[in-house]
Amino acid sequence: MAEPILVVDVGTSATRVALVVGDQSGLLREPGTASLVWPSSVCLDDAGYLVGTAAERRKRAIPRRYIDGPRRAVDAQASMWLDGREVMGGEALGAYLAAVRGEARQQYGADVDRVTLTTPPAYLPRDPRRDVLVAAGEAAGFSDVELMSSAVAVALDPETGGGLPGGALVLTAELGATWAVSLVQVRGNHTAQLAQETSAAGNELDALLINDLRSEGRTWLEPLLAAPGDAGLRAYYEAIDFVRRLKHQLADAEEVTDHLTPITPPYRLTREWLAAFAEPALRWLAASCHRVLAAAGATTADLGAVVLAGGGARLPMAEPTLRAALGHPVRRAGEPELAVARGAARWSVGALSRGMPAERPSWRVEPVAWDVPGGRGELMRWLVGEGQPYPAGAVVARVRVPDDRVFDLVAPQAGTLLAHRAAVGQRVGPVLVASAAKTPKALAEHPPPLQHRLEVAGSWLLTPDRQRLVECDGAGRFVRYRLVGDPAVTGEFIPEVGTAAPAGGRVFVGPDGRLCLVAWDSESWFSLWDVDTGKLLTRFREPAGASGVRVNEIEWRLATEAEGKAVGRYRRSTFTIWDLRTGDRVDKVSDDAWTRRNPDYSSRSRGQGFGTTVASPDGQLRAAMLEASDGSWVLLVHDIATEQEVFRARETPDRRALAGFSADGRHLLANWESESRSTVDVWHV
Amino acid sequence: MSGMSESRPRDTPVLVVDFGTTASAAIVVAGEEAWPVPEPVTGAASWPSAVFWDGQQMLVGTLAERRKRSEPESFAAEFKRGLAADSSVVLGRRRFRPVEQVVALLTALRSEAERLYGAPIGRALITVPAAYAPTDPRRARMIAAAEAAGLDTVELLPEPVATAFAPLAGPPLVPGDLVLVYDLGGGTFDAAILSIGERWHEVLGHATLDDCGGRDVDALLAGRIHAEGQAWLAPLLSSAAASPSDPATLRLGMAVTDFAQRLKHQLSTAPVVEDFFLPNAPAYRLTQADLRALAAPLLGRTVTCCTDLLARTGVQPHQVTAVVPVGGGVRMPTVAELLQQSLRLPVRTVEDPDLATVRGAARWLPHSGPRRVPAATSPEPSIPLAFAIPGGSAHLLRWLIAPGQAYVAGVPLARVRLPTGALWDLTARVPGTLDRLLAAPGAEVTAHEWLALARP
Repeated sequence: MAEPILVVDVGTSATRVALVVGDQSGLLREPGTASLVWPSSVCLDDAGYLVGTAAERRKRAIPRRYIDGPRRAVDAQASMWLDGREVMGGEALGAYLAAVRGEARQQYGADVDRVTLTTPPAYLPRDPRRDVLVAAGEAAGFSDVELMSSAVAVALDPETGGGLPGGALVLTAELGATWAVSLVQVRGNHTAQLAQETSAAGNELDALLINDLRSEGRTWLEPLLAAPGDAGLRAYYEAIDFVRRLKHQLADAEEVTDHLTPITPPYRLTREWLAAFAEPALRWLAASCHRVLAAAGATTADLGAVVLAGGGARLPMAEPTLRAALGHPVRRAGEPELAVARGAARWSVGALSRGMPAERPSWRVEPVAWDVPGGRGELMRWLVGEGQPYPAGAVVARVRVPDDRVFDLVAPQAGTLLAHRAAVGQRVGPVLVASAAKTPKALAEHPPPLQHRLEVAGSWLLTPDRQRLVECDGAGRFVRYRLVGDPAVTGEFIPEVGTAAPAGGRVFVGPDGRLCLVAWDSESWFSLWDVDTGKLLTRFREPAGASGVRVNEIEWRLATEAEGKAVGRYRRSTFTIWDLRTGDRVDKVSDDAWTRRNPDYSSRSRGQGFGTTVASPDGQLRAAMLEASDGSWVLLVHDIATEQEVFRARETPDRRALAGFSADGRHLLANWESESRSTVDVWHV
Repeated sequence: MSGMSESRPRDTPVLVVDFGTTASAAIVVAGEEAWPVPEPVTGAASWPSAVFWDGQQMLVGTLAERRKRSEPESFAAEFKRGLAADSSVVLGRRRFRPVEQVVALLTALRSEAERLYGAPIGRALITVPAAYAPTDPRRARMIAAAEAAGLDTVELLPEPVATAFAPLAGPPLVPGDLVLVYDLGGGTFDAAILSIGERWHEVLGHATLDDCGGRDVDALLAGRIHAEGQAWLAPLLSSAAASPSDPATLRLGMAVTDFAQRLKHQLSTAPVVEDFFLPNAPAYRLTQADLRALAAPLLGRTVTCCTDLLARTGVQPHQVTAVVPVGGGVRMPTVAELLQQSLRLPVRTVEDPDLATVRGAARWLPHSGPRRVPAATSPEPSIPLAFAIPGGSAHLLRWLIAPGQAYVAGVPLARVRLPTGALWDLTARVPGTLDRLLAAPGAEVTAHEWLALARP
């Protein structure tokens, strides 16, 4: 069963919580109010911490022990004072999360040990405030604490994030107590925040509203605020709640009027005034969008979506401002304050897919491991260098243990050390490992795994740098390439064709190392394409047609072979030579022995990475392709130092076979070529 | 040596050194055999820890002692004390760091040992005071000095641990015994409480008096000679030099100290001694009772040091199996007597108290376990587990599978947190059994690094 994950978006004044179990997720309601928005408030009672609605209820009785949320203290990396007691933001946050975890257990019926906490976009990697969040999560009893940027969460909100292709850029504007503009690249599990900018604009707007309330209601509010003891502080908290309430009401009314207390005069706020108060913040918002785009090297044209989120997204002027600034439609969910929690829940639903399978171990490498006496020590030195052989009983490394005894780490069998996997002076233990080459005997006993087999009705080419495998359709209709170790196609070239049917095509390596497709059609037009740029390099027509095509990659010429006139009992072939740089005809000869006299003209690329005998890049293995007497082809791999055979493979292609190694030496390749189709086998070595 | 059987490699020789403040001693140990390295000039078992810069080379041991009278400003002893600060001192016209002086003495010990043994010696075991805690820079400086002296593999052993391995008169110590090592050296006094073990003794506590050694008794005695011999010493002094900083004054002072030492050494076997500072000086007479009275305050401090140590470590005196007096200072006949009277503990003696530490270290070596660790072998292949961690590095939160546990393909093996905060699981590509962990929870791990070994 999938582990449950709690998602907590701890905002400055409001928190949202979701629970994810398997592929199901749902927002949790606050127990006190049954609302999806949990107050972030904390109150330090004599009995301990009260959080959320419980804290809100106590704030009138003990206002000096109340704070509307610990996030601000974490943001500022400062402590809070609750009635003379200094409390670190992280500690209060831990208490808050513990209460949330307790409530989740009530609602879910079991412990939830994993949590996803959203961070403000300004908490970049290595920011110490991230450690505070992790520690708070662990203090609340979560064994696994995941952090994600709230901007990434907004970009992933299923309500606004639909229809975006992989790699799309999303500009997010989160308008909460702090305002943040971020650019996020959406790419599944690798979705990342590219740039961000943050401002205290939301707080400033509330402060402007409070100031207005204070000046409007000078006669009746000031005496309340100035009241001695807790009464003044109580009135201040009431006033904050009052203006926030009015602000929210303006989202769907032109004008609101309300009373702070039943006995105080009315206070009126209009949308127009609110717009005037919000004007500086909105100006920042518009400018910030452009700065964030510029910081990531992007323009408005690159944007896949613009998403407005957070409670402040309800400000009537926010959406038009953003649309005007970017010239881009703006997406806003119905409940923008829940966007972060929804997006983080979607991310957490995908937790199971964030698995990284172990890499395939190299066929030729085996670990040599020593248990460090006492479990730890310091690596003094390696006595066998990388790439060096050692005899049985050789001292490979020396370690010093904490009591200053020195131990020799000994190899029981002879071998070759390939890589030191720890640096001299480094602390090591409980195990020290090195990479060693497997013996030819061990290699022969355990053949390398066949990683994949690829087939094409055409031909294969290994690029001269031995990094890419190139597949060419037999009629020259397409060229596809892949990285050697991965069967996924990384690029494709489809040449433009005229009315004539494609008749043939092959890839060759041009004089400057570029891959070129030579393609010809039923009307004997020859086209030379640059595969990487897709550019047509030259085009010419051989009116006589061609029964064979050969290319000289050194001189960069092409020879077409046409069946010539009958001379006596023979038909003599005619060869026309073309300059591939210009497309000009250079020569025309009739000579039965022409192909023998001109061995540099070949029907297959000679400059490519496949060959009949190839050595691995580290010079340790040699692969050779031999034709057996029964017509089959055998791939033989030998350990060069000992001349022992370590692997063989056999196939029966019609035409021929070639062998190759990838540039990193991790893959062994065999190309089995038949008339109609060509196969490549890739072994992981 | 060439007659050794070919199938069995010759045991690696190890130079065992007790590097003392005033005197050092060395033994070459190869397998079960041991060869002491005597001072080449005097043939004595211990070497003066002294150096002398003659302007071209560093003389050590007795050669240095002999030259100190001619050029006292080029002579240095007790430089082991300087290892803590390692600030340089002037010898002749050059500055030397204490660690360089240690190198000089160790180089001489190594050369003499190689000459006696007949082959190069690359390993060393050096005893150091128990006060050199694991992070004490003096440990690293001693190792660096020995490496500079051409000993490429250097081990350290606490002095009291070594001492308790020395052969004692009477029945051997057994595991579980509590032993008080009372080490009155030339320059310092060290006390340590040990719990005896088979291969290792645990140091339960230790204490040091830096100004309380045999040399301090010598100085007291020299002071007494100065006072009592005023009549014949004063004219000598005034004729030798004009000022107290004159080399001649230094020379005369050294000579008086040497004379005091000679008298003291004679008293270790005779109840009374009579000797002459100069052939024409009057006879100087000293009895064991005189010496006892002179050394009483100093020895009293060592006893207090021991009782304080017992109290501090919470060891009751009746729990202590024995007190073992070692170091050159305990040759004074008064010491054993004093220990018996004041500490009321059984005293166990060693044959040559000034060689107990080096001999103990040499005995410990062959019994301290092999120093060769063969690589783990198994009939099944060992498969390293490495992962292409997104972003290149991560914080390893925990292993989800324990060593020895089998798993199927796709199972999460470990959980990491990326720098972005995202949690990723590292999963199995193929089934296997986890064998050894190479990275501990909390470690920063990188892509393609081997994090564990598995078996198919």
